Order: sequence, then structure tokens, then C-alpha cells
Amino acid sequence: MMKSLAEMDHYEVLEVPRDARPNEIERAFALVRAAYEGDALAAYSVITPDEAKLWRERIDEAYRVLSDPALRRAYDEALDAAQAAPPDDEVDPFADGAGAEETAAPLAGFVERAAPRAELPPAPEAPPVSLAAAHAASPLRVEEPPRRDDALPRDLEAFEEDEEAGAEWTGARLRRARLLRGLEIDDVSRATKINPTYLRFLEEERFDGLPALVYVRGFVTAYARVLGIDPSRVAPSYVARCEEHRRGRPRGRFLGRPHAPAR
Amino acid sequence: MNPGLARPGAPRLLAVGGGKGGVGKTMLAANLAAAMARAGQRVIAVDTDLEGANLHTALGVPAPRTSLAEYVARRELDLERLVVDTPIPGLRLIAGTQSHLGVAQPRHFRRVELLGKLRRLAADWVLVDLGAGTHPSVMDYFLVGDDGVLVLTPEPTSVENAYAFLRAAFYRRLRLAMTTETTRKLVNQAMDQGNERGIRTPLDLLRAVRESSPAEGERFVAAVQSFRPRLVVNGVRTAEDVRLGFAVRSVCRKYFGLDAEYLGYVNHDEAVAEAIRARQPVVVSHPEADAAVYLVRIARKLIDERARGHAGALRARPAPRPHSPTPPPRPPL
Repeated sequence: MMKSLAEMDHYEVLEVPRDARPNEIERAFALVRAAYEGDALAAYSVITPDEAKLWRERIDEAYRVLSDPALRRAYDEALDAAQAAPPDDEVDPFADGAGAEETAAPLAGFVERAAPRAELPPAPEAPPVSLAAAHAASPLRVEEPPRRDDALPRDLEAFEEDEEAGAEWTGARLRRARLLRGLEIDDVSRATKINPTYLRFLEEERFDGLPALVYVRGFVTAYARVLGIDPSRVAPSYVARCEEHRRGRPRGRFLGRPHAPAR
Repeated sequence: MNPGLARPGAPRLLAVGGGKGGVGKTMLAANLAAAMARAGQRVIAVDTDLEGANLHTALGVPAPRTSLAEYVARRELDLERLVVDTPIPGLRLIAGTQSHLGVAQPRHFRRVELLGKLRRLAADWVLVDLGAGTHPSVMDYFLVGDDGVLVLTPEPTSVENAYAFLRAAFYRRLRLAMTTETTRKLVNQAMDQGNERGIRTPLDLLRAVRESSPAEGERFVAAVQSFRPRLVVNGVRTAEDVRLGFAVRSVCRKYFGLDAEYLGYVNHDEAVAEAIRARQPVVVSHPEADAAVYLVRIARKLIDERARGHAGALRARPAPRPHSPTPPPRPPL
């Protein structure tokens, strides 16, 4: 909080907790990196293009280290060591020009490229910590936290479907689950090889535009799988809706809800 | 009494703002209020927009018999007597006005007094729908509330105005937190982006304030840390639109040093427009609509958070959040 780019550690740069899982790091990197890309909506009116470039470099560096298990282990140990070391007073990062480097002394190799303004040294060729050192550091460390790797990132769990388990799976609910996971229709189409038009029909419950029921079941199963949701929870419910509609239930549904049931 | 401090049993004050008109502030305020009421909470919605107020219409109250203008004009000082019922059980309203052009916004001191009274209303939640713009009157409601919700849509104009709003709130909060002439002047200078001292970013400002006085520097940091805007992206159509909230949160953290929270998003849905035409919140008129599901989700998140007894939903916070942005009261500005 209120830290310059130079003072932030890699976790702060990627905005993830120290125990972030690899998929959380991947996702955080994609989100944070996109925020400072080109004329991205979120940043252009606040920071200059030069600043954005610096931030992107800092973000890339953080990702390079944290996405590599060996580099990350070594970095974690350096961080722990830095925290364990008795602080030289409260180091004021603004006390003088060299403040940032002093604060980060044990991590100098990681931080020097993140000088807050312009004069960046050319990117060093070698990684700041050797792989050998990283391996030697902690051969027995547990590789991954026990969470499933396809679980939702933690900061999204609060957004997860709040409808009680077993609730009906509608097209709108499928779309909500897709948006929550940051996927566009085209992403799902690439992963499932299902025509994007059919995926849209699925979400909009335009049942008349969809092929035979057996295909619908296949589509929904593949779709659910891409979202990381158990297809056996989704397919029967959705297929039943489709079947019901085709048996001649009332028309005029839009996005899975009866039209204008003002009450 | 400090209007920023919540007493036990007092309502939680939630202000909805966003700078730009038309991004869905009133829609969000009306629907969160309705969704909370339907979840069994006692809610009072307050429209502080004294020029283009229409929260009453969004809630299905055609012509409120009384409004906040009565208070501002000092014709009625008991807020409870300005509260009117809405068609939604559990949800009441203090309306704004559309036509009293002569009614100016109350001055800072009176606003502080008003905020103190809002906290004594008999309700679980007081939801304040702020007008558009970044006038100090709007900022005070946003800053003194327990929760300030910033609404934006995935459009450049909306995002620019959201930052203008955030910047105004940020600097106003800092200026109120500063106790010396010198540091207050520094904050004023920083608000002028072309200032001669080269203070461009909040970090530049912090450095200048610390140089002037380390104690003021600490107050500065405390004021920033206790300010936790919550973001809602409205009108979402794609996953990229959903990501905008994370991107803005990132800019808040990295540029302003603010621990903003991405509270949620609401999709673009024809049902919202239908609900407005029906003069009802969409969570009431179309409870199964996609947008209603999103809105109910946000309302439930706020209620759950409060029940769990902390302001931040996502991770443990280092210290309990001070509710007041301001040190001891000072004369009106």
C-alpha cells in the first residue's frame, strides 16, 4: 500500500497472496498485464505510456520469477530472509535517491530493474538467481498447495453461483459461469470445437436453432467441462429444459426467462 | 458525535456514486435497496441528488409527498418525518427533488450534520444515491459512508469520469486528514495536475508531505489505507468487460495505493430497461432476469460481509477499518 513499483515485491506487483497457486498466478498475470496494455481502458487516462511500459516490464519480471517453481522458491527464501533480518529502522524509501535499493538489498537482483522512472538498465541476460541455487535451497518443499488446480481463483469465489446446488441450469446461468471464468464465446468454441453460433443459441436458449437433443447434450457436456463444472450436474438439467420446450411449451422466452412477468 | 462512526445497531451507510450520469447509479442503488429489503433487511434509500433526482421513480413512488429538500431548506429537521414508504415491504425512501432549482446543496458543516442524522435512522441499511459529478457535496457522502460504491461502465467516457471521481474523493479525503497549512496546500497543489512542484502522482505527494512533516506523512498513509472504494462494472457484455473491474482495481492499488475491492458486475440486460419503464427495480419486476441475479448476488455479498463483521470480503485486513476519514471536526470549508 502506497508503495512505489520499486518497493513492491513480485507478489504485490501481481496482486496475489504469498501462497498463490500457479493458476492464480497465471490468471493474475493475464489480468494485471492487460490492464497496462497499449490503450487499455483502465489505465490510459491515469498513467503515461512511458509509465505503462515500465509497469509492464515490472509485471513481466514478477511473472517470470513466480511462474517458475525453482525461481519462485529461491525468491521466497530471499523474501523470508529479508523479512527475518532486523530492519534498519523504518527505512524511508523516499529518504534519498538510493532508498529503494537499500530497502530491497537482499533482493537487489530482482528489484534493480524496477527503478521507478526512465533510466532502466538493459535487461540482464542471466536470471538473478541460478537454478542450481534454487534447487539446493529447498529440495523437500511441497510442490503445490492441496487445492485443485482448476478451482476458481480465490478472489472470484465470492462471485460464484449463489443459487443453491441442484438449481436448474439455464442458458443464462451457463453464461454467468463463463463470464465469471473470464472466457469469451470464442474461447469456449476453440476449446470445444463447437460453432460459436450454437454456443450463443445454448446461452440464449434459442432451442429451435439447436440440433437434435443428443447433440445438445454433447454441446452442454463439452461446455461445462471447459468451465470446470461437473457435466453431470449441468447436462441433464439443461437438456430437460430443451426437451420440455420442444414438446410444445409456451414460446416467447428470452434468455431463459418468461417475458415480462411483472408482478 | 463523529458522523463517521457507526454506533452498534446503527444502520450501515452505503453511498453509490460514479461521476458520470447514466452509468447506472440510480439503477444500482434502487436494486441493491430492493434486494436487501427482500432479504429481510430494513432499508432506507436516500436520494441526495437535489436537481435531477429520480430514485423515487425507480422505486415506484410516483410523487413523494416530501423530500430531502425540506431538510436542506430547514423546513423540517427531523429526518424520520421525511421518510416515505415504497411499494416494496421493508424499503423506505427519502426522496430528492427535481424542480427546486433554488435549493443549493448544504454546506460541508450541514452535510456532516445530515450524515450524522442518517446514521440515527431506524434501519439496517441506508443507501445513498449520489448525484453525478464530483462536487464536494457528493464527495462527502461518498467519503463518510461505511461503503463507497463506484459504478462504471465499459466505456472510455465512464472510466475517465470514474477516475475523476476517485481522484476528487482521494484528494478531498487527504485534505481533510491533513492538519497543517503547508501539507493542506500541498494536497491542493497536487490536485492541479500542472503544478510547478512536479507533484504528479499520489506517491509524489506523499513524498512531499513526508518532507514537510513525518507525522503528516503517517496521517496521509492512514487516510489512504482506510479508504476502500468498491467497484461495480455495469453493462457487462463480454468477459473483457468483466475484467475491466480487475484492471481498475489494479490501477487503484498501483497508482493511488488504494485497496479497492471489485464488488461485482451487472450484465447488460434488456430487462433493466423494461423494469425502468415499469418503474420498478428489476430485482422486483424480473427476478429471474440475468441482471437481477447479478444484483441480488451483490446485495447478498454486502449483507454476508456485514454479518461476518468485517468490511473486507476477500482477505484478512491488517487492522480494523476506521470508519472516519477525518480527524477532529474543523470549521466548514
